[in-house]
Parts: sequence; structure tokens; C-alpha cells
Amino acid sequence: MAGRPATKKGAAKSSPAVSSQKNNKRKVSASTEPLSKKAKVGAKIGNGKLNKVVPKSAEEDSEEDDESWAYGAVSDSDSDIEERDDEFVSAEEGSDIEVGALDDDFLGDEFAESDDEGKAPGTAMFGSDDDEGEDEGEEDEEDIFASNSEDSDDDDDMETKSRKLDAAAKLEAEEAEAELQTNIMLESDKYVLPEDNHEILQSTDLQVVQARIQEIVRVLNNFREMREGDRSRNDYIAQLLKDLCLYYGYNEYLMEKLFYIFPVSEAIEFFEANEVPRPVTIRTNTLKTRRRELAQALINRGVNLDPIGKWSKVGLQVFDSPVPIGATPEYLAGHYMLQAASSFLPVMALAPQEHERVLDMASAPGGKSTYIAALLKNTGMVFANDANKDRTKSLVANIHRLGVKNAVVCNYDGREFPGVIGGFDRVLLDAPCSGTGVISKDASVKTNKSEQDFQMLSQLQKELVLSAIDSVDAGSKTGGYIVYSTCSVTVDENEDVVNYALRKRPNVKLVSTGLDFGKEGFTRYREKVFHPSVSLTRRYYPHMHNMDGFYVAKFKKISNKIPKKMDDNVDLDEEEEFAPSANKAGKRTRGGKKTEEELEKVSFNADEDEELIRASQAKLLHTQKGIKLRPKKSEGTK
Amino acid sequence: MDVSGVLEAHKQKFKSVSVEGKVIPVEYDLGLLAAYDQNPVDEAALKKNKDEYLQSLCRDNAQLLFNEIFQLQTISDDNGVMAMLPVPTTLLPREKPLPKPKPETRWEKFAKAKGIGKRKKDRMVYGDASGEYKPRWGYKAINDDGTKDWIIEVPAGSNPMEDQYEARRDAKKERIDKNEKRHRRNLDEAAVATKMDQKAVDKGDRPDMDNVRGMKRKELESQILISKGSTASAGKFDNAIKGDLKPKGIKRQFAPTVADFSKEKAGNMSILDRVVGKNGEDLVNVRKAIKATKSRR
Amino acid sequence: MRPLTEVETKTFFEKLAKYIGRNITHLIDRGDETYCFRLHRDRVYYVSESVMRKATSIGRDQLISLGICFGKFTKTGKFRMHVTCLDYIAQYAKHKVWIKPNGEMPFLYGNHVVKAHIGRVTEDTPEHQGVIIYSMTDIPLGFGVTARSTSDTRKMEPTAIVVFHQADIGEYLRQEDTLF
Repeated sequence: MAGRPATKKGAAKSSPAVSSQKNNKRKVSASTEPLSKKAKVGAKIGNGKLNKVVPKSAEEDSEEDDESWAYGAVSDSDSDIEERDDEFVSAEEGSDIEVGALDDDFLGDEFAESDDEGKAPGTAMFGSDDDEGEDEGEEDEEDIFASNSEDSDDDDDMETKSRKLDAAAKLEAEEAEAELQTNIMLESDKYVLPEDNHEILQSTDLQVVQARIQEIVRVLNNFREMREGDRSRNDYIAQLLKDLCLYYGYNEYLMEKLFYIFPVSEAIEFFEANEVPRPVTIRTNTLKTRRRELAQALINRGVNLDPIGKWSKVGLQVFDSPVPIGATPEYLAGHYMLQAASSFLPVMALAPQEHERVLDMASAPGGKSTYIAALLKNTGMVFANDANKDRTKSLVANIHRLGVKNAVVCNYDGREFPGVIGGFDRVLLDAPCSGTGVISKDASVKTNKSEQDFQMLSQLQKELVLSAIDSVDAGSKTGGYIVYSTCSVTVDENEDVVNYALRKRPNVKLVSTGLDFGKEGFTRYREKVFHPSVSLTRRYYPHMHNMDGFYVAKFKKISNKIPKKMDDNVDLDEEEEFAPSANKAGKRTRGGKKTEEELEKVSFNADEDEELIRASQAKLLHTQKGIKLRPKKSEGTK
Repeated sequence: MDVSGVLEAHKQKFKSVSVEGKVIPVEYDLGLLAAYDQNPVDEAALKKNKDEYLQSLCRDNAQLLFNEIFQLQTISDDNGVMAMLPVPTTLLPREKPLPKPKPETRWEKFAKAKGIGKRKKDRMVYGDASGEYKPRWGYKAINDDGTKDWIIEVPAGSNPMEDQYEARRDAKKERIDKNEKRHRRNLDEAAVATKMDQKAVDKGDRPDMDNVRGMKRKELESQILISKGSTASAGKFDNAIKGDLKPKGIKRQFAPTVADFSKEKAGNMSILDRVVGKNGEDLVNVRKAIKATKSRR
Repeated sequence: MRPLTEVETKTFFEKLAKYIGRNITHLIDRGDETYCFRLHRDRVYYVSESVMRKATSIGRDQLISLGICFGKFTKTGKFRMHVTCLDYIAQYAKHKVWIKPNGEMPFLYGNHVVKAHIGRVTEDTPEHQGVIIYSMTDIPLGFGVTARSTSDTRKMEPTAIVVFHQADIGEYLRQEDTLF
């Protein structure tokens, strides 16, 4: 699992730091209107350091049940104890949830509406949309100034002073600009995209950038009416991408990759959600205890927790704990496992049955493997493989700690697999990936992934998924399933890989993952078109499901024979498959005369051919030891 | 007097010395007094009367052999007339294998490479001065005119007080020692070479003398190990000495990983019985029993 | 991976018998499935026959672990029990010690158990006897060796060590690198 995002420790340390810094800046411009109780709670859950949320006036029913109940559970769960009872009931009662629509004067209705669909409950949860409309700037002028000066406190006095002056000058300019914009807005409700070289573009003031982001998003959401003159959509998007890179600190390649996965406003939510840590979740080890008992034991230690949601019977969500949750006696005794909510999903999709032989191809640190073993109830066997020998230590530790008695841990490259041992009933492939779904845990992904990394990863994933498929025995009475999952949201690590597997192994088909929530996988993305059954796969997003970005696909192997296809030895890309052959055909048929000439030239001459063949044979024989050529033959070669 | 009739009559009494009816001529190796008759046996006659047939065949062939012997050159002396037997032509197989060729000494190898052949030196050499043959070395040798060593010129640059006679003697001794050393080295190498691959030796490869020490060491170690094991218990109850030699290259044999599990289980149980005690050490908790009986009193 | 030799089995059983005595029988001869002890890289694993048979396909260098590790043979040929076998030996233990909640953490940090932390003890535990240490909520925390017999313990001071620490589940965190 080389490409898997780093450990919880590192991620947990780094991400709050980032978000708190940003929050401080945003704080400056945040309004201080009284907060609704729920919103407050939500903010607390999402990020302890976020201490204010702009209450949103519009209270709208969330429309999609599957999303809302997840949020309902989450946002409710931290609130007062009496509310705890109806946490799951609230799934249907979308009205309980505060919807974070924006009410600033320059935001049109369209934006508000589009918001409702995509991100509605998320805002209440994260409280991250707090300061959106604050670029009017007039009331906050001083604050902005203060924040700027704060920023430069570290520098020398002189520098500070000059900077202050500069900043003041700039601010004036910005203010003027803002006023101008406001005026325009009031008149025509249009946002003027600044020209290149415009000084405002050089500005690295995050507030300016953020304001611009919002403006562009608004324009893009209703492009026909809001566009300025004949500026193309691409102009706006190019500027938006640039601003997003600056604001959230992504490299441009990754930003572009992620941006196009979502509708524009949803993309912003996604990036925003990546700044907030996911809630700590634990999985009850049913081999040793039951969830109720564990919850009781932890509550006795002063831990504040709740069930993770009605989709899991073993998950618990921890809100706060006076003791380190990874070092309680219960943890050490193996009663639970610290595990992200998203990593429950592939195992639930795999749904191993008792007495089955299951392979986890990339298993460290063992959260999923031990879950599989727990579902098997220590019958059958689990092969936990990981390519990284160092990581197998924690894998073995977790397997022993959780009391898994039927596991075999091995250290192979997953691609070797059907060769080592095959015929499994089920295989779980949680492939090494770029980790774009877990940016909140490991923010280094934002900058350290290049195009090459993505290419290498998807190549590896394709190889792995094929060997995973080949490792399964289609004849298994209860099984014959393969689950492919990644903690990445990009399409070329997910749908593309699944589509490739379907193409290369016609003896598998996609089946429903058995997970009743999550977004359907794309059947088409930009220029790519996938098999229609790819819609059976499931995507999970941090802003939508309050868990790490994740992808789950479940295959069923129909037969052990790989049917031969006509295009068996053609390459990966379908476009490439056909294009060159078509060209060749065109060349051949073009110009009847020419082809005839060519035919003449190419025509066979048996004698010449024979001589050629003999010459090459003689050459071959010369190179071999101990074979003497008869002179007659050698003459023939001449 | 015509005795031809008598002779004829006498002749009639014996069979003729000339033997007829041999389709393939009989081969002889007179050096070994042997004749080889390669004619096929007459099966019918053999079956009819075996002994008679074989006897007649033997006689005929013996007659032929004697005829040949009588053809040979003869010498006669006091003991009688003797025939001169030729050298035997039949090759007989050797009872023992051929001795291995001795490995070459260093000089032999060098000489072979340089094309230096052996030169026979005569024992006697002609002395020009004396005009007669004298032995090359030894008593009254050619160079020994009785006056040779009575005075030795001190070589230029050397210590005048040095005894030149002694120096000469020392030099000679040194030469002899050196030669002796080489001789010994040749013997060592030959000893190693006998253990070398015979093909390599035949090709003329010298043994790797760095290896000689190793080989000797190995030989010694194996002897030590043998002697160590040569106790009444074949070394089993001897205490191991720290740093002592351990037999190398002897692979431990383990039970197969997958085998008869009932046997493995039984083995484990018997070990357990030995470790814990057959009846279980805790059938009766002695202390508890004592306590119980005490309290009852 | 190979079966233990006779000498190894003996050393191993001697150590194991300190904790579970003759109950080793229940490990060797199980009603449900055939289980066996296998040695792999000095470590002794307790594993069911079916799992072991499948694991033979894994190369020696690539096989990291199978079943449950009971402990390892040291270079000097002694056997050292690991905390990983706690599940099994807790199941068959003859002598147990329960420690109070305030004694849990000190024990989990690798300290010996002092008298003040003891909640309950199996009656008639002799000295130098292997014991399993439980929390008051019956979670096995590790194992140790008694310093004194139960009767002698009564006379001791509250700060005196009663059970010497051998292994505890805190080692899953503390010694992850060396344990596996």
C-alpha cells in the first residue's frame, strides 16, 4: 500500500493547524450575528477551532434522503443528550437540519438554489461556509488592516511599517474596486472578470481571492445571464482554478483533476471539506466484545461517543475523549479498532460469509482485514497481504491484538497473486492510490502528486485489479466476488480502472455493492465513456457523506475462463485501438494505381525467397557450435 | 629294403598329422601356445555323441597347434630340442588399474613449457690436460687435481678477514637446503594434487598451494571430529566445550511441515506427559489438602 | 515453517505449563479442529491445520505470520512468551490476579504489580507461579510471575511487588517493532 495516505498521527497533526490558520483569517471578516444552536453544534463537531458560523436564513428541506440522514446523524449526535434518541429518526426529518444557504445581498437566488441540492447539510456540519459574502469590505476595513499587520508581525519594524503603508494603499484600491463591483452588481448583477495583469490578480490577499472565487462561482452557475460580454467560460474557469490553487494550496495539476469531478459549487465545498478533519471513528471488534458493551466501557472512561450511523452495526463515532482513544485498556485488549468510517465500506460491500477463504491484497494496517475476520467469526481464513514489509508489522500487531486466529500475513507484491495462491472465495483490493479522498488527513497530497504519479498509480491499479480478479475462484459456492476500492476520488483511479477490468476480463461483471448510500459512479466523464454498469459502483465524498473520499466497486466472477476477445492484444485506450488501423486501411485503398504498383513490388518470388531463407538458416547454423555446413549449401547461400 | 610297407602299416596305426575340413583356418598365438578355432560347431554331431565329437575336435586342433610348433625354429642343447616361441600377440587385460601419472614438479612443468629436454650426461669425461677419461664427479674427478682449494682469492669488495672456505661451505649448504625445500614443496603439491580433480592434474594444473593449508586443516578437523566421537557413547554424553569444533555441513533433519497429524499430536502428548507428569500434577492440590485436613481437626 | 523438534517442544511446553499446566492438552487435542504448533523464523505459531496447509504456498521469505504467535525462541534456545498468546493462556489459566482500575495503567506501562493494586487473587497461588492478570472488568491485561505465595502476600506492605511483570497488552504499542 505504498501510495496510501500517511498515518493518522501525522495527518491529524497537520490538518488542524492548516485549517485553524485559515479560520483565523476568516474570523476577521465574519459577522457576529447570533448563532443558532444547531449551527454551533455543527461547528463544534466539524472543527473544534472553528468558533463561529454564519447562520443561514434559508431553512430548506434537504431533498436527498440518503445524504441527509447521514448528516442528520452526525450533526445531531453531538447535541444534547435528549436529542440523541431520535438521531436516526431524524434521517427522514430533513427539516431539523440547518441548511447553509447564503444570504448575502449580492448572491442571487440561483446560487442559493443550486447550493441546496449539493451541499446542503454539509454546511451545518462543518460550518465552513461562514464568511462567504464578506467582500463588501466597508465595515471590516479596519479588521482587514489589522489582519494584514498581524501577518507581517514577524518582520522588522521598518518593513512592517512600509508594508502597512503598502497594504493601506492597496486596501484603498481594493475598496474602490469593491465599491465599483458592488455598484455594478447592484445595477447589472454581473461580475467583471479582471483582465490579466490587473493588479487585483497579483494580489495574494486571501480575502480578495476568496471573494473572487465566490463571484466566479456565481457567474458560472448561471453563465448565460451572468457572463460579462463575450468572455468565455474557459476564461472564468482558468481564473477560478488559479484562485483555488492559491487559496487552498493545491498544485495546478491536481486542482484541475479534482475540479472537473464536481459541479462548480460542489467542488468548492469539496475543497472546503478537505480542510476540516473527519470525525474520529472506531470499529467494535465483534470477535471480542459487542458494540453496546464497548460503548458502555468507553463512556465509563469519560469518552463521548455515538453510533456512526444506521448503516453500520459496529461503528462508533468519538466526539471527545479525556483519554487517548488509541491507548485505552479496551483498545489494547483489542475490543475496537481505530478506523475511518470510509474503510468500513469495502468490507461491507465484500460481505464475506463464514468458512470462506478471503484475500486482502493490500491490507496494512489491517483495519479491513480484521473486519473481514470478524465477519468470518474466525472461521475460514484470511490472507492479509501487503507489499511493504515495514507496514506488515502493524498489520500483524493489529491482527493479534484483535484476536484474529485464522489469518496468514504475507509480503508479496499484489501483482504476483494468482501465482502465489489463488482460488479465493472473495478478494478485497483496497488499492494503493493518490489519497485525494483523504486530503484532510494528509495535506501533503495537495502538492506532491504529479501527472506521473497518477499515471503510475493507475497503471499499478489496473494490474492489481486484474490479478485480484484472477485470484478468485468463480466456482465458489458462496463467493466469487471481488471488491475494488480506493481512498481517492479521481476518475482515472476508479471508474477508469473498473472499466479496464471489465474490458480485459469479460468473465466478470459489476454487481451492486450492497451499500444503500453513496453517489453512483460516473458512466461518462469528460471525454471518456464507461460501461453503463459502472453506475453500480459507489462514490463517497467528504462534503457529502462526512467521511473520507472513497470509491467502492464490486465484481462478480462468472467463469474461470477468460473468454478470448477479438481485441485481446490491443492496448488500453479504445480510441487508440481503432484509430491507427483505420488510418492504415485508408492508406492502402487510397489511389488505385499506386496500390497496384505496390502489389507488383511486393509480389513474391519463390526462388529469391528460398535463397533468403537458406541464407538466414546458414547464418543461424554458423552461430551454433558443432554444426558444419556442407559446401554445397554454403554455395547456395551465395 | 623296402620299409615303405612297414611305415605304411605303422602309419595306419595312427591318425594322420594333417587335419582336413577346417573351413576357416585356425589362428595361432604361439607365444602363448594357443590356437583359436573359429569354425562353427557341428550341431548334429554334437547332439549325436557329445563326448566323442568334442574329443575329436580337440585332438584335431591340438594336432594343428603341434604342427605349427614343429614349424618353428629350433635349437638343440643338452636338455633336448627346443622350439623358439615368438612374442605373444594376444593382449591380456590388466588386473590392477594403471597407476596415476605422477603430478609434474615445478621444474618439469617449466622445462616442458620452455621445451627443455633431458640431457644424458656421461659419467666419464675426457680431460684435455691429462689426455684420459676421468669421472665427472667423485673420487679423482676431472676437476680434482689435488691443488684446487689450497688458496682462494678474496673477492673484490668483500671482507678480507672473512673465511672464504667457510663462505663456500655455507653457500653449498644453502643450495642444498634450498633444493631440499623445493623437493618438499613438490611432495606437498603432489600430495594435494592426488586429491585434486584428475582431469586438472592431467592437464598439468598445479595445485593451488594456498589451498594446501586449508586442505590440511580440513583433514585435521575431520580427524579431530572423528576422535571426538570415538567415545563409548559416540560423543553423545560428552560436554560441549566452548569454541570447540562443530561438525559442518551436516544438515539438521526436521519433520515435514505437513505430515501425519495424529503422530505429531501423539508426540506432543508424550512430551507433555514428560514435562507435566503423566497423571497431571494437579490431580490433588497437596497444600490445599493439608490445609483442609488441618482445619477439619 | 516447520514443526518443532522434540527439544524445542519440551522447552516450549515447560514455559507454557507454568501458566496453564496440563491444560496444554486442550491446545494439542481440540475437539473442533486439528491445531498444531509451527516454528517460523524462531517464532512459534499456533494455527489450525487447514490454515497451515494453505500457508505452505507462501514462500519462506514472504510469510510474515500465521495464526497466533505464542512467543519466540531466543538465540540461547530459551523460549520467551509473547503477549499475543494471551487469549489462549487466559482461557486455560489456573491462577489469576485481578488488579484495580488504578493499577491498570501502571501495569500496562510495563511495571510490576504492587500489593496496593491487587483486587483479587486466585486462592492458593504458590510463589513463582505464572499468573494471568485481569482488570476488574475481566479484561485480560497480561501475565506475570508471582513474587510470593498468596498467604505470604497478606503480611506484605502495600508497596511491595506481588507479581513480576512478564508481558502486557501495552506491548502492542510499546514494542510493535520488536514483537513482530
